[in-house]
Amino acid sequence: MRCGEFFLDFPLRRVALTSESVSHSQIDLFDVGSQELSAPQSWLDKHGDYLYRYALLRLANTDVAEDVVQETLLAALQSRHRFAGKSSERTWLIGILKHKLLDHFRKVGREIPAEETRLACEEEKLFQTEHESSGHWHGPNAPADWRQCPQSSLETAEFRKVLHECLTELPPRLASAFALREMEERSSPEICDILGVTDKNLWVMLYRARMHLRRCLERRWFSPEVNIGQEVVKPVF
Amino acid sequence: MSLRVNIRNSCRRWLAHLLPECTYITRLLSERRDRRLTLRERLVLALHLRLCVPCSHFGEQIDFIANIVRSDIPTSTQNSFSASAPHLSAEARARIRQCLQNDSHARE
Repeated sequence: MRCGEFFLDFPLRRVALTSESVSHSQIDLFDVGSQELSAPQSWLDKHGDYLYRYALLRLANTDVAEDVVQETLLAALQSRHRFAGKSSERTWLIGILKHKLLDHFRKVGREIPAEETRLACEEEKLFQTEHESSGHWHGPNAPADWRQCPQSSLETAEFRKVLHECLTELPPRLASAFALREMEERSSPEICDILGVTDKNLWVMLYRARMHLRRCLERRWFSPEVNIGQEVVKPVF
Repeated sequence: MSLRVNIRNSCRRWLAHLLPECTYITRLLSERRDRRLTLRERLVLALHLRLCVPCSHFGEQIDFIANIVRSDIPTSTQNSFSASAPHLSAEARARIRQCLQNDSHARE
């Protein structure tokens, strides 16, 4: 299957729904029938890596992700008597982790965005020719057709690695906004509340994050050197 | 003369209105994922995307990125790239274990 078919076969909403349901069914598969908590000493071995990966994808920072896992397990240990047994142990831990992530996002939202100005400058340059700012795509900066790239190459560990590295390059505030919007699928007003920004501000932040991610992926994965024979797209204007 | 200039400028403004810049369109493509665009924005976008190949690629790319991060669910075993998937380092693991032990000792 090629990337083109991938786009056709996976309309946005359906993917969001299936990925959600798959994740829950997989989580439940691991802990069928275990509605009681196991010994706290075993949590780190059983769920440590899972929690870490979940946090890392959203935080894009190994140190912070480790800290969040530690805080989560500590909070779980302290509140284990409140476990109602309605969900599996892992789902319960993920629930606590999500709260810890929110705390982190709230903190990050208050920080002063220094790196974001640099991204904004880079963004402007994308639409500039040598002589003037045209406001239109031109030359090698124009987004290429990613559908030329085979689907199988997107399922490799290397692609995931590049994706994670691109996420890591995002300034913390943008990474938080992006994680909340695209991974946690929260609504704009909710995210504005968490990060303490206006809606217009948030849309600019998400725009910058997406702009950076697509450029990073194109440069490092979808560039013509990687996919030989791909036509360089020239802008119409 | 001034009338001609005026008419020319009005025509330019009108055309620019019909064919907005890619900078504006990429913003709309991003915001389309976060809010409902107005009717005017949707029309402008649809027209532009019919004409501009790079912008339509941009739209596809950001939708693709959203799909890929959403489907990147960290499962512990049933994952083809689980072997190389990120995991807690030995030091971090030891530190967390120590921290948990300290806490439970403190409570006892």
